[in-house]
Amino acid sequence: MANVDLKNLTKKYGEVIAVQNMDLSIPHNEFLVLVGPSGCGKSTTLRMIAGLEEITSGEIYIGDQLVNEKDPKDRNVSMVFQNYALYPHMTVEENLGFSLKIAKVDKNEIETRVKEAVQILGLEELQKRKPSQLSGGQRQRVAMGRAIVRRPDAFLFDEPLSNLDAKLRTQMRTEIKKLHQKLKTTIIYVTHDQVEAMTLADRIIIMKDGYIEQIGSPIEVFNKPVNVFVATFIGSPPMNILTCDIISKDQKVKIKIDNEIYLDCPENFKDLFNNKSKVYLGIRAEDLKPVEKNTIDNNDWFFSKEIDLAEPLGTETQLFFHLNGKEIISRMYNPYPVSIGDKINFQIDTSKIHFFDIDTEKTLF
Amino acid sequence: MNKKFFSSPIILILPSLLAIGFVIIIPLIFSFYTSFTSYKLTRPDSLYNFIGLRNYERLIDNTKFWYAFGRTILFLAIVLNLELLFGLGIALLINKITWGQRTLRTIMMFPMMFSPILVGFQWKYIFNDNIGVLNNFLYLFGYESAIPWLIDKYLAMGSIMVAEIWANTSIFAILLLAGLLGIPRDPIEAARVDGCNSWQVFKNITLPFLMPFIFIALTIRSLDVGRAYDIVHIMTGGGPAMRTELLWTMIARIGYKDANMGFANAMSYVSIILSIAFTYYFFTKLVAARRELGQQ
Repeated sequence: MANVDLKNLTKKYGEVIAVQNMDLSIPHNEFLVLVGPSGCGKSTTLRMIAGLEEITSGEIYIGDQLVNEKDPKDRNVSMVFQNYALYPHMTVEENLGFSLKIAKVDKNEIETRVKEAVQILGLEELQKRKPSQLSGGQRQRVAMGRAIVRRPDAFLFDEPLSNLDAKLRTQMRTEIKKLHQKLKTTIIYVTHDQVEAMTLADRIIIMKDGYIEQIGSPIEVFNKPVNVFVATFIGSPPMNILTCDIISKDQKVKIKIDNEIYLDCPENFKDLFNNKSKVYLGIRAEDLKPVEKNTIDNNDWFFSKEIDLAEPLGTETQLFFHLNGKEIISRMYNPYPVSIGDKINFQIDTSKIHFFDIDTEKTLF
Repeated sequence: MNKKFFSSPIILILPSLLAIGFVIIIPLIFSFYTSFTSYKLTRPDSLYNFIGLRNYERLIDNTKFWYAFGRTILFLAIVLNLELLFGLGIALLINKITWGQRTLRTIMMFPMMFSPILVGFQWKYIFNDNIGVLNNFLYLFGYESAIPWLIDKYLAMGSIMVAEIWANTSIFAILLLAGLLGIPRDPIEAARVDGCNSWQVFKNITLPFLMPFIFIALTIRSLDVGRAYDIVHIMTGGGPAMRTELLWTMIARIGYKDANMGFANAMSYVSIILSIAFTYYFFTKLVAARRELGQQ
């Protein structure tokens, strides 16, 4: 049980930068999720913590110990791999007990700990089987069991659910969450799936091209993304991003989001727009509410547009239309029947919109 | 002949049946038959001189044959084990290399490119007690009495083994390297995180993955070494005083030099049992090793 600290961590493959000057402090018992598109350096970071990848520069501390030069075996971390990485020639039981056997733990103690892991993960019926006789979900469970029995300082998960089918993935996600609550250990979890990141994490780190883009709780990164990348990466469907002109019309600052649609600039943003002629506007699909009548108060935006496509999903219907040539998605809760070409009224709560600088793509506050 | 016999399936497999018949089955039956006759190559009419089990009875009492039999087993055991050990070592080392691996892989296979006869001649020259490279080399370091490598009753066998191992270790190395390259990276990394040092990773993960390849190599090489003839024939001709006589050098001598083909064939049939036993043993082990890995 320990905290993990990364100081100025850098990894280069020749000229290619995988991770750049990463600083991170992970307190004990935190569930930290590293998320980002493939090639962003998240797995490399995890593998460096495990000791499977050499560090180009920087320092890694587990507990209070500098582990830069330590072999993986001496770091007391457990890792769960994407491909399960079970030992095919050992039974489930042997797989679970292997690390303890190597550590020369007393036989009875091994038995107790394996039994404990078997109970936690519901593997009772499968103890004598070989990995080739297990399904994907069962293998994943064994892989987690193998990590549990060691009682490590930290668990490292490398995209553990990406080889499972959708239903199983949801189920295992819940189990991992429960496991964390039960074990109370530091977990560092790598995924490219933002839904996994949101549901599991105490704190999310969004990475891109070897850099950390944002660190925060799931709600923070969802509600207050620091830039366009984070805004579009977190949330499903991704946030609608529009390029808008800022113009003065009738002595008012207006935002032009489409040829005929001009909207009043919210008061609190006016100062920010002083020297700007263009901004990115970000609106989440659920904040773009289809309404039957114009029942707005003064602060809300309101416009109507013909829709191109409607996808009913049962609990909601997703409406697709174009603004300024860009496809926009709106989520309609309490759906009523609509057909293509219908003119729909949309209402936007201006306290929920985001503006990003057109050059830096950073959020304007 | 009824119509059914010339149905199309029969006609279609007839060519291969005929080929197999002429090339394998008839010679097999013929040689088996001759082992029950006193057939001598120099007296063709003796082919019809059926003597029942006489050849086999003689063979059972023939101590020279059983010495050669035992010597062949010893030769097999030592050569196979050392080749496995060296081959595994070379494969592990080459697998570690990141730069120039292909070049090394090619260089490693050089010994396989020479005919066994030439390898025999080369080593015969190296081990020659008067003009041999080895003795000259030892002389340089002050060892002045020439060692009779191919003449001493113990050293001769060892010298042949060295030549055989030099020529064929690369077969093990190449097969085991193929095995090493095929091992998934994940279980090895998992083992390292699980607390294994390099030796423990090798023993617990790499070796089980390698076992099927080891048994395939052993099967192939046991058949190969079991029929060893050329290197022995060139280097010592079975001497000194038959100390390096293996099964096939002995059988060839009796069959062709002494022209005693009936007796030689009887020996061959007994010898084949040895090859079958080795192949069966290694194949059983191979199947077991693959089942262990869940591959079957």
